[in-house]
Formats: sequence, structure tokens, C-alpha cells
Amino acid sequence: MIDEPSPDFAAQLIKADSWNDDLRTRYEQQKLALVERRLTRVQQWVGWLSLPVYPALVVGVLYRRLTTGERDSREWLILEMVSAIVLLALGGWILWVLLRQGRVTWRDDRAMEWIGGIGLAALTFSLYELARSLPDAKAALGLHEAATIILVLGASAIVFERVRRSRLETRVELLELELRYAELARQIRSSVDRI
Amino acid sequence: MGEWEPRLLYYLRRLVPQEADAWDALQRTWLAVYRDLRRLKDPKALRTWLYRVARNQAATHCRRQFRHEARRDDGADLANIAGPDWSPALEDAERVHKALAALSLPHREVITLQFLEQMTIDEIAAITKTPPGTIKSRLHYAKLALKGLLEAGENQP
Repeated sequence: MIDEPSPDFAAQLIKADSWNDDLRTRYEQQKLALVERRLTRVQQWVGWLSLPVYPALVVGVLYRRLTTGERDSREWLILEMVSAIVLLALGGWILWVLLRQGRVTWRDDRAMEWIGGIGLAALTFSLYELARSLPDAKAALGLHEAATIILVLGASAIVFERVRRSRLETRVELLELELRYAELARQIRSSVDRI
Repeated sequence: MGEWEPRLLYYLRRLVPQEADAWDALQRTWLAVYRDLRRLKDPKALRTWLYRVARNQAATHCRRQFRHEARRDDGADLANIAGPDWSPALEDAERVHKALAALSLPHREVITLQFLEQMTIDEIAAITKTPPGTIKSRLHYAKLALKGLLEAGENQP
């Protein structure tokens, strides 16, 4: 018999316990809630219902290009192509999330930030270019204002999302650091006790 | 997080009757820790705080059992608690693990915390929100009971 239980004893004690693998798997899956979010059932339904809209819009844009597009300027062509690519990217992202039962990981969120950022920049740039090319000054001004509103709203949404994610990531990293610090302190203390 | 899971789970498993409850309590412990970490003023108290959170989650599961056990009085006479502290040998870990199930919940809890984390009486008192004197008494009687169970096991053919 020894006077004090050692950390090795704790390890042996834990080793002596047995666990149900199914329960462990379920726990690991649920723990992911810390680093990912899940779309609500309503959001998933809205996502599925809106999904055909994206390819339909892309088909519409391409159809317009094939039928009346030849009379349009180069600026129209750029806007239509940018719109089609952005719509496909958004639709693809939504499909990807829905196929995984609405799970949105950090990586998915980051991908959406890139899609949103690049898409917004390309869309507003092509709108500004189109506004510049319009012969009607009043229509050009209206389009210019619309592009500015889209840019401001889109950028605000991206910044808001970035701040939300940064807070979340910082809290999880802080938790990990605190736990490691406490573990380290425990190990040092037990080493000192042994000496 | 991975380093804390086995110990917290072992502790929780000793508090709740079903294994599924222990996993659920562990899950909710992490969510509570994640949510309330910013309220922790002293980082040095993290370990105690972590176990307290885990205990609260277990208590939520088995509130009735915890209330009943909290009323228990060991009837300990602290003056009689004397003599060298006893701890089991490393090779007895498996037998200790089995014998823990035979102890009462308050005894099982305090001794598990000491064996798992080598916690002091004050730390265990902080987790269980029980006076240190009561913890000292519980530890004493828990060790006596455990020692008795191990010896009875040795004497069996």
C-alpha cells in the first residue's frame, strides 16, 4: 500500500472502466455542436424549395444571352456571366449544406464568406461598368445607386458574419487554452510532488 | 478537451446510474463550460470549476437522488478520524474500480475525486459545496469501506 494515489492510479482506474461505443459515437457527434451550427428545419425546407431557383435563373440568363444577347454590349455580357457564376456558387453551397442534414461547419462558413465577398465585388463591379456604359444618364445614375446599395448591404452582412465567427472561434480557442493550461499545471504539480 | 474527457466521464459515471446519462451530462458540461467560461475569474480554479459544472449537470439528471443523498449524515466524529491516510496500490486499480460501485454516492464521489485528480479536501469541498469537515469525514469512511471491501475480496477463495 502507498500513501498517496498517483496520476498513474487514476489512469489505471479509467482503464478499468468500460464504455459503450455507440454512446461514445453519439457523444462525439453531438460535441460537434461546439464548432458547427445546424440549419433549423424551416431553414432546410426554405433551402430545398429555393434550390431550383438558382439553376432556373442561370438557364434564364444563358437563354437571354443566346436569343437576344448578341445585341447587348460587352458590359451586359460580363454582368450576366458574373450573375450566373455567383448563382451557381450560392446554389452549390446550399445544396452541399442540405445534403449534410443542414450541418454548417466553420469551413463551410468560410467558403460562404469567400463566395459572398468575391461574388459581391464582381457583381457590383459589373453593375458599375454597365452603368458607365449606359447612354441614358438617369438610368445610369439609378443603376449606380442600386449597385452602391447592394455593395453596402452585402459588405455589412459579410462583416457582421465575420465578427460573429471570430467571437465564436476565439471562445473555443480560449476554452482549449484554459483546459491545456489547467492540465499543464496539474502535470507540473504532480511532478513536483513526486520529486 | 480530449485530455479531460476520460476523467470527467469517469467521475460522472460514478454519479449517475446509467452510462447514457453520463455521456449526456458530459455533453452538457462542455456546452455549459463553453458558454460560461468568461465568468471564470481565476484561471487557477478551472479544474474545480470544471468538476463543479459536471456535477451540476449530473445533479440535473438525478436531482431526486442527489437531494436524498445530501440529507445523509455520516454521523462522523471528526475527533476520531486519525491515523495514517490509506491509499490503494497501483495494481489494485481494477478491484478499486469495482468496489467503488458498492459505496454510497457521497463516499463514492469524494473518493473518486481524490483518486482521479488527487484533489485536496478544500477543492472537493468547493466542488460538492459541502463543509471541509464533512468531506474529511466522508473520505475517511469511504477509505475504510473501500479497504474493507478490498480485504474481503482478498479473503475470498
